[in-house]
This record gives sequence, C-alpha cells and structure tokens, in this order.
Amino acid sequence: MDKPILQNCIKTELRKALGNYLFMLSVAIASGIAIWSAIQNISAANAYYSFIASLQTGSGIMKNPEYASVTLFNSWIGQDYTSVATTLFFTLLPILCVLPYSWSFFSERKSGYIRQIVSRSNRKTYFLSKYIATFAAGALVILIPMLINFMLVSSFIPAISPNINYDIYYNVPSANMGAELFYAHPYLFVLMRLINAALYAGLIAAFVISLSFFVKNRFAVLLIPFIAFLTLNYFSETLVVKFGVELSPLNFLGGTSLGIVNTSVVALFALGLFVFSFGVTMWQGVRSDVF
Amino acid sequence: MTKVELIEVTKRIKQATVIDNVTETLYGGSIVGLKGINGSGKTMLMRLISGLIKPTRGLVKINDKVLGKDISFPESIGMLIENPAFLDHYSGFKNLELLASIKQIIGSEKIRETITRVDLDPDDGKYYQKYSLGMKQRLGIAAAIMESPDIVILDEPTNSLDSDGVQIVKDIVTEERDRGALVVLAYHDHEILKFLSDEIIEIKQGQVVGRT
Repeated sequence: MDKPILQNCIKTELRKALGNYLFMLSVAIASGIAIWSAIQNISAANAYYSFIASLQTGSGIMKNPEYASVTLFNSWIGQDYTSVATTLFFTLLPILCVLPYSWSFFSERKSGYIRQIVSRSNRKTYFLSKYIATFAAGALVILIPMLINFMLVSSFIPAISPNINYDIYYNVPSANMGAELFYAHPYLFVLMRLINAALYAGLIAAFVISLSFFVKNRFAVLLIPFIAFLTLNYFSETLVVKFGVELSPLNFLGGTSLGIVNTSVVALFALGLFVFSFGVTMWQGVRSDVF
Repeated sequence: MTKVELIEVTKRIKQATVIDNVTETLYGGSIVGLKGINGSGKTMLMRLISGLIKPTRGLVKINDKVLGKDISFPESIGMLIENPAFLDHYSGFKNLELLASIKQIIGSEKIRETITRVDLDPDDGKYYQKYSLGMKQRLGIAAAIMESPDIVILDEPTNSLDSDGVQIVKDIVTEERDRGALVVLAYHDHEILKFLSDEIIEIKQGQVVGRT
C-alpha cells in the first residue's frame, strides 16, 4: 500500500464522512436526546436536594447520611438508569451511529463513484479508508453528545465520589466491569464508559459496510444492526435471569444493566464485531470486482 | 510509451462468458475504438483494462506489470465507464478537488483549466445533483482527463451531449492521443468511432471478431 496515498485517502474519506449533512443531523439528534437526559437528571437531582434540605430543616438532622446517592457519576448519561431520555439514547444508538456514513459504501458502489476512488488508489486503500472514516463518524456521533451531557450535568450536580455503601443507587455492583475504577477513580470510569460507547458505536457503523456486500437494500442494511440489537436486548432479559450476566450492549454500554457487566462479554462482543466487520470488508473488498 | 497487453483473457460472471479468450496489444499515442452491439463485451473489456474486474483466465499487463499481481490498478489511468458518478452535495469543482486530493499530482489551477476545457464554469457553486445530464457527462470527462493519465478510457463519452459537447469530446480525444496517451473509446455510433479512432476492434459475444 502506498503510504501517502493511504493518508490522502483517509483524509478524503474523513472529509466526506464528517462534512456531510447526515453526520450533522445525527449529532444534532443525539445531542438533543443527551441534553434532554441532562435536564431530566438535573431536575431530579434538584428535587432530591430540596427534599433532603427540607428534611434537615424540619427534623433537626444535621447531616444527610445519603449524601452520595445522587452524584454527577450516576446522573450523567453514561451511568444514569432512570430517565426516559437515557434509555432512548442507548436504544437508538445502533441507528444514530449508522446514519452519518455507513451508507456511503453501499451508495458509492451503486452509483459507480467507487470507480473514481479505487482507480486513483487501490482496493485495500479504499476499503481501509472507508472503514476508518465510517468508524470515526459512528464513534463521534455517540461521543460528542455524551461529552455534552457530562459537561452539562457536571455544571449542576456535584461530583461527589461514589460510596460503595450506597451501590444500590449507582447500579455498579462490585463484580461489574470497572467497578474498582468507579468507586476509586470515578473520572477514569467516565473515560472508560466514553471509550467503550464510542468503540461500540464505531464498530456497529463499520459493521454495516460488511453487510453491504450481502444485503441489496439500502434501508435494510442500515436497519439490520438496530433490529439485531433490539432482538438481543429482548432475549438478554430472559438470559440475565438464568446466567446473571448482562448480554445486551444496549444495557451494558450505559448504566441500565440488569445483570453483572462482565469484562469478557464486553470485550468478546467488541472483538467479534471487529473481526467480522473488518475481516469481511477487507476480504470481500479486495477480491470483489468493481462494476 | 504505454503498452497494454491482454493475453488470452476470459471473464466469466456466474455462468456467462462475457469476454472470451481475447488477446490484444494496445499502445500509447493511439485511439482505439471498441465496436459492438449492446452486451457484446465492450464495457467489460474496458473494466478489465482498468483493473476494476479481474480476469477469470489470462493476464492483463500494463507496461509489463501484471494487473492484480504486480499492480492492482494501472498506475496512471482516467476513466468514464457507463454513467458519470459524483457526490451529490458538492459542486463540480469540489468534486474534482476531492478526487485530485487522493494522488495530489495536480492543483486547483489544473482542475479549473480542465473544467473550462469541457465548457463548464469552475466557479459554478451549483451542487452536482442539480446538474443536467449533459453537464454531468462533461464533468465525468473532466475527471477522466484532469490528471493527464497515460490511459484514458471513455465509454460512450458523447451520451447526453449536444453538438457542441460532441465537438469538445472529439477535440479532447485527439489532444489526449497527441499528448501520448492511449485512448480507448466505446461508441454505439459507428461513424463517430470511425472518424475518431486510429484502429477499431470489433467485439461480438465477448470475442474479438475484427480489427481494422
């Protein structure tokens, strides 16, 4: 692979991916939902703090013993498990992350635009660049709103360190992935959540490229991840009762998990998505004819 | 001088043989016309020379390098095969600028010059999706020639063009040949093909049946 051409191709693809109006639209929709989640959590926190203040005033309690039950770390979108907006955000994640650019390969192949690019680079360069740009667009569509939400929530709700004694308020039991980080270094836990959600969003977006080799309908190819994740989410509710482990990414990417979030499950799922999407894209892309 | 060799090339798609045992050698500085009815294999032959599709049997060599083995695409090629295709939400200039940014062998001036050469306005900010069919075709030709490639492949380049456009294509094809490029043309109009080409290869059911 010619390195300068690969770099140019990646830049070109990123320019197309991050400069198109569907990327802006997806970021706007996802950010809207994330802001709605922030508003819901800030309102709930304010109501809680007012209630505690009134209790202290009325009963003479000098100190709230549950001071850590509502904190930034369980009120931002990455760990909140109570608001409708947060549930909506993670439910729509498989659609939001494919909207910006996952359609691109399907569309370029259908229109013949792919001929213009591959003849100036080569198949490997084209598909690697397409994979990287699609991954980046999908990841950013989820990362940007989550960051906006975190900044907004942190402006109104105090960043009290989570206390393991109140773990029922956080939905982070000690066996969960990153539980030690959550209680000892909560900002690192936030970082882990952001990376995890962005990674999954990027992989789901890139997964659609590999599906485009087999599925001939533009809408079907974009909807398949959403339907697959919803189906998995439906069955995971049954499986979680049996095995105790959370299997649905829609749940373990945020704070709404019903069972234990197992590191191996999260890692294996991501690895599976990567191996399939990258493997099929590069393998099929390099050996396929371009018409 | 550019040399393109097709050595016993056969292409099968599913069960159909679309190119059948073709052996030809084409040289730079000439215009080669491909003649044949619809479905005869003209476009498939162009795709094989372009490296877009791989032969089922046989070899395609560009300057002694085997396509699909030594190189995946000809190192210097411009093509307009079937319909022109660009990004809808970019202007003509932006589209070409984006394509040129991959190889970075030409700058804005050359892009502007090429757009003017096909009688379009490089400063026209209109999105590609708003272009007429003729304008789209002109932009497709501009994309094929803007980087002064050694091989220029044009499949029915006068489709959707008015008489002025046809004349522009004729001039461009001749200028590209004179510059030393190998120009491969496919036309349904035998008269234009005869007028423009230095030699004509006649294809029937994927086989070369004549060369004049």
